[in-house]
Amino acid sequence: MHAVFIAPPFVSHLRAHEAVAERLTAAGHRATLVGIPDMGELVRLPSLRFIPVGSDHYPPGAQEAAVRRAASPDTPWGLLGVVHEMRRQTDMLCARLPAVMRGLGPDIVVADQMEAAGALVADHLGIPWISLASALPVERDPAVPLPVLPFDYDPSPRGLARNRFAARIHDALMGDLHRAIRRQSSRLGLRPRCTLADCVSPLATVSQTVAAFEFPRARPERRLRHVGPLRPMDDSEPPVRLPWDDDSPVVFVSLGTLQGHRAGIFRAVAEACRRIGARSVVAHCGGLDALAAADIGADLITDFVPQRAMLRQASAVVTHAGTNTVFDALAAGVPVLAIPIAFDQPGAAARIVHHGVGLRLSKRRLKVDAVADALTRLIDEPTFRDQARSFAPEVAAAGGAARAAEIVLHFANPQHRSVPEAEVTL
Amino acid sequence: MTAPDIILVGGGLANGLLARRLRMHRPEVTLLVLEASDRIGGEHTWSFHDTDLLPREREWIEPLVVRHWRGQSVRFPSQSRVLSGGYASITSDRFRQVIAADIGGDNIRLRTPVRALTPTTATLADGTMLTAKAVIDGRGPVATPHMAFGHQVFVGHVFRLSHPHGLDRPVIMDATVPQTDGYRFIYLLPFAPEVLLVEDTGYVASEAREKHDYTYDYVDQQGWEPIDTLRSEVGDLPITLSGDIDAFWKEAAGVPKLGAAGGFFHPTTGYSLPDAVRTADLIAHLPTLDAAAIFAALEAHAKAQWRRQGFYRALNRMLFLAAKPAGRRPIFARFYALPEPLIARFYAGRSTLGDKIRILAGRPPIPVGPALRALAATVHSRSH
Repeated sequence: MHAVFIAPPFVSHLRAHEAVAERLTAAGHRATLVGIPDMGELVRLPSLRFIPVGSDHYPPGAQEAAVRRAASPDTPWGLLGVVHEMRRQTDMLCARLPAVMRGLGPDIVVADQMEAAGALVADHLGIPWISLASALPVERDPAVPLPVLPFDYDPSPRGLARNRFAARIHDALMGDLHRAIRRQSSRLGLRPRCTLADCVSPLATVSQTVAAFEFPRARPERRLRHVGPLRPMDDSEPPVRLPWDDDSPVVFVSLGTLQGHRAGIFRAVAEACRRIGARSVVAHCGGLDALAAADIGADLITDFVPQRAMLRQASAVVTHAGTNTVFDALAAGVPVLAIPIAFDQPGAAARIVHHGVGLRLSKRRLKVDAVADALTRLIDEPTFRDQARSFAPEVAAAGGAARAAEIVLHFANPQHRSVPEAEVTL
Repeated sequence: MTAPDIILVGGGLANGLLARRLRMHRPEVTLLVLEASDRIGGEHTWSFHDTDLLPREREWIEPLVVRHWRGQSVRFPSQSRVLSGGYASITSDRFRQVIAADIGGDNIRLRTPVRALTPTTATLADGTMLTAKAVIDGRGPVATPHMAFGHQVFVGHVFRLSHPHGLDRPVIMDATVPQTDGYRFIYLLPFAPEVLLVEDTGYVASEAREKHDYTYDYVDQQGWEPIDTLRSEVGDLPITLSGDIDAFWKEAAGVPKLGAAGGFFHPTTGYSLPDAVRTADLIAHLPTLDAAAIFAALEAHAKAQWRRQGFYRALNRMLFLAAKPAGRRPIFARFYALPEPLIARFYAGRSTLGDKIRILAGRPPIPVGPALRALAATVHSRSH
């Protein structure tokens, strides 16, 4: 069995794909990742074959600028830049993937929901594909606000109208990408598609979420498989040795791999921790240089820290509410202070508040007082920790990468491809 | 729609070249190409040696040639050698451009698989029956009880490298690679200073293509860094071991078969282009272009060729049946130590008796007993 993975060139997405690929290759199957040349540098899994495409538009080194653009998606210009970048990559992949994919001859394609080209090209070539939701799933539902929105769950008629209205604004902002998806689906001889949600697999979506964390859908999605966090097989992280010897509560602070440059947030959180007598551990994921890092005033600041081990030692976590950090926190039963920045983070923060596993603050006008108050509550009021801990068993039981690999193998088997809309060909 | 004169089933190399030749010589003949996939030509690279074609044959396919090289080389653990013979390649992208312009887009129907054929009708998947004076089947190799095949399987990628690869001629066999399940070699076509086709090829007995794709390891070993993959191709070329040529053509029931469907390829190397050029010429020069005339011409041509090719099939049987997979490489290594004109005649399928003796003579590369049994082995038709 040969699976080809198509993912956007972002570390957090890539790691989820690698976790699934690792399970497949460990079982003797083949896994190949196709992406822009710079993605090769990010690949960690030796058994995952990387195939670069598109060097004419994405010469080696080009990705750094794209990551910089994706790092400020919270301004209107930044957001349009991100959408433009997605569009550019989707167009390139739709043009270039077919000639490569034909030769690779995969049994199945695993297509990240954030990159429409994987689905469009697989469908064009008649290869079955499943979707992988590294972030919150894009499948739409009238009762569930789009993941990019901070709205709380409100299935009342007023809430539904609000969701509909917001979706229209969202779609207008995404126009550049949606027009590209429509153009490419027509060029590839497919039924018209427009949004990323139109490009999800008819077979299944493997999602890093757990069902209980999601807002209830008005129309249940049976093809949505909540397998929980997709993590490497060897996930053993030794305890982090902290350079102090007291039992003050520890607050872990991470803004993920794209937002680690936001010194202002780190500084405010570090200051708040000092005020309430907590120790702060900041991981900036390489977003700060040594000078800027020293200026944060954290008790411990580093580029990377073994996150799951760190969380086991933490009393609270401050995060941008990226899917990876949120689910690691839930698996460890640690309350969350969410300071969402962009993408699906407002949606994840809304779920955190909805389920009582944490609190949310706006990154705008982030006051040290407000952070200190929120952290005090998270550390002192047991309900947050209890609620967070109540998710741990479900996260542990969701199946993760092993379950995801089973689903991939299931649909790679030609006998299991009962696609209702599949055309009959000889 | 008025019925076309000729329906070409399958938009591959042989039917495409035939269409081009008919356009040149018989512009009045109307054509319709039915192609099952979404484009003609698939994803291939077709190559040939300069000596495979006569100048007048070469002339009319010249627009299809994307690259010509002076010389080629082979590499074995025991020896490397530069051969002076020229080499040329056609890519499916160029094929599509040229042939589609020849035929005219209106006369090509894509995504149109055919369910059944007779010499004058083609029935589509939806039951529509199209008629013509002749229907030609060019849909590639088919399983038949009348032929026994080995397989030349390959997977290849056209890479753009971060730095020039430094090759100025094709490496048609680099057999220094591990010999896993058959005769394995890497095939290299340097299309541009930084653009290179790297193909992992194996002469294997079973149809199951070995799953491992060795090209990436090879590229690593050479110190090349691919920064782009322009396209990839996979293939499974039949290598004829033995067969019953009379039964094979009887089975066609009067439907003319072209290309691999008709067994028109070099029995040992699997090269198909020279045969496709010659069958196109053959048909384009027939006085009448009806199914019976085309079938008779192709059948006669195939049978005459079959008789001349006995030596190559015997060699294939030695390769596939007698030699253990690991023992196949020395046979090729020895062959490529022979004089160049002999090698050129072998490529072109025109080996002389003297050539044949020299190819087989000397210390036998495989034990005599199994070799003799392989030479004697034939496949008997089950339809008799």
